[in-house]
Amino acid sequence: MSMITFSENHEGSLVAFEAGAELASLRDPRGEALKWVYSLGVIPSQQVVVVGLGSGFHVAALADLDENLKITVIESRESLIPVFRSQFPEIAERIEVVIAQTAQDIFKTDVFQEVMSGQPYVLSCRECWGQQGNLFSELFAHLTGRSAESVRYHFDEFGINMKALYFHPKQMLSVKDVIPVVEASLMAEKQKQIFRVLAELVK
Amino acid sequence: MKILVLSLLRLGDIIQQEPLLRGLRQKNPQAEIHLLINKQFANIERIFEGVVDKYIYFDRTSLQQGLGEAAYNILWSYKQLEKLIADLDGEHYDKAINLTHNKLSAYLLGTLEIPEKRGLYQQDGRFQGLNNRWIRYFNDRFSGNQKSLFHYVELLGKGFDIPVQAVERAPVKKRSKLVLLQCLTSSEKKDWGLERFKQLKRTIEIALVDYEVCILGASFERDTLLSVFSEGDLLICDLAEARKHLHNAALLITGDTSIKHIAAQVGTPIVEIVIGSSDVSKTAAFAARSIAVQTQVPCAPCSHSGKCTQASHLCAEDVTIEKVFGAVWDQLSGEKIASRKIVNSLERAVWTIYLDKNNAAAQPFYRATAEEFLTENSPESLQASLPAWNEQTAIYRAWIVKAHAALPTRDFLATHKTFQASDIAELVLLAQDILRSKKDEAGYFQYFVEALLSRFSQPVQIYDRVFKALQDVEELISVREEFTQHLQMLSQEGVYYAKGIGQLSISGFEEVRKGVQRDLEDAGI
Repeated sequence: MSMITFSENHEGSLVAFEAGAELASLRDPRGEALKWVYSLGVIPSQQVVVVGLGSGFHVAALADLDENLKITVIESRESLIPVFRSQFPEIAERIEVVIAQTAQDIFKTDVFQEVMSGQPYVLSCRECWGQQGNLFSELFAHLTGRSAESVRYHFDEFGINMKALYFHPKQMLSVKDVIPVVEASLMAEKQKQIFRVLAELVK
Repeated sequence: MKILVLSLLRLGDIIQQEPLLRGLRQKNPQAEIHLLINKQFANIERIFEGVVDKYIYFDRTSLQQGLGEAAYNILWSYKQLEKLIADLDGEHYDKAINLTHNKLSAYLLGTLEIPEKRGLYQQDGRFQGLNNRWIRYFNDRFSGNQKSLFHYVELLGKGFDIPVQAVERAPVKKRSKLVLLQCLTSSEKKDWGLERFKQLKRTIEIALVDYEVCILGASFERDTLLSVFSEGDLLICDLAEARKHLHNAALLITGDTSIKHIAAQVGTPIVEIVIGSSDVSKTAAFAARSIAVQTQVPCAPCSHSGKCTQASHLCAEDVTIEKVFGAVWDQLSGEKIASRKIVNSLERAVWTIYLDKNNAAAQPFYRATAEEFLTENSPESLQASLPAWNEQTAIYRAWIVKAHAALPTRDFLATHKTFQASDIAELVLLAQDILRSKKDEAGYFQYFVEALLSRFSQPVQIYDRVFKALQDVEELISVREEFTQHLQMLSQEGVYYAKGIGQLSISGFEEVRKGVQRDLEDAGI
């Protein structure tokens, strides 16, 4: 695990660094976070999962945007959490931070069960990923059900045969990739029909 | 009774379907009619007042976002759609009518638990709902390149047994002097060009001095229109306001737009400029008074997707301002618009008889159709076109005889393990001759040509398909021949009547009168 350090900027805000690389804009972390939040557009669910805590400014901006939004953060660097809680005490209680050291860890968490049942919007601010790019990409794909490994969990209710999907282990999947497997599976006809409608929408 | 209507096409198509919804309401005055449309066209509600009881939205944009953006769970769109289907099932509809006729709507209707489904739906692993000849004709013509003799609305009306009628405007007390131009369409390929519209406006204002010409447009079109027209020329409005303007107008000149369908609904005469991907046989307004000014360039109509492949916009250049003004003059001068070509009317009558039959064994309604035809067309014009019509019939008859002769027997093909193209070479050559001759515009031999193009794994399958297709063609040609006989008989009856009674000389009656009078000489005796 690489070294995490913090620097105080001209506004008195603490900005995290990982192996010398900043995890938020040192000059204007709040402005950068606001820009990110506004770029999201309308959030289609009441719960979001954010992959990567970083310096926490983007999570704080998101919490400010909608005070009813339930926010869960997935992070691998535990040392970021105490600084985040002390820097944003007003939202510290609202934000649940879940630690996942490896991509597979996420499957064992309660958050993953919640994600499967509620399908929350999954967000990520790349500026705060630092050295964790590969891990966070995998976590993102697992949480959205777009990795071959996670599809079997997300599609558990359909009882479909997932072997065919393992031909593309690194690819971010879409419904289009799943359709051939759906057609070859023994799931209810009505469920298959819904997938066929969706397939028409991605033509 | 609760009826769900699926209309998951674009704005223009939904507006075009208005006569069908009105017909459905007229046929089922007590029914609760719900309309499923794409959410982006929710503004249609104000146009369908009094017809639809409830609108249900298919949020295509959100669903596509959920499918395309990585931040959404892979099953997010699935869950949204599942919820919509559960909501629709919760309405407990008695009947569903699919006006959309595409795979998406067919799959969607297939998932719904509704006892009576009309139109295309997918169930038990296959597409269903093509259960009458009208719907099959609609399916053949609107999914292929073959032109349709009937309007889209007419076909769906016949297919679903919904009475439809094009709106004829009621006479207005004060004659309108307003001409509206809808210059912009949804695609650049269908745009005639703002400069041409500007010249047309000037031509109308110079030639017809008491007419005022205004430009219709939506708010997002304002800036584009202002590049050519002045602010005072523009009528920027939404669909409901556009409907009011159209109601007060003497004429609408437009490309292939949804505005023309609104004009058709309120009975405003239309001049439509048909260029680019617009196809008059498929998307023309269902209107009693509409003139289409069509391009004659060979690349039109082009496909909806993709840009124009020509060096310049040939189809737009082909439609001159003089041509369009000619149509404008015809419409505004109030002269009777030339009736459809008689051959087209004859073809429509033949196909109506054929399509009205539920099956090959059903008795066709020759006499009623012939009588109706003669009320709309004069016997003189019929007599003038009959020689060419009969010559055409003879060609069709010769083709079918030739096709039967060229078709190898089933027993012969059954002896073959593999199929060889030479087995049906004569049939293929005949099909080529038919296509090259361009004498089958109405598509009598379409089934035959398609049967030859279909895939098959066993040699006997080609026989079964071609034989079945030839039976259909045979039936069509027989209908054509018998209908012609009925027409000739009925029109002759009229001639006999005219010659025998109507044209009797007055002196003839005088002679009769003379006959019954007492002979003067006798009287003298």
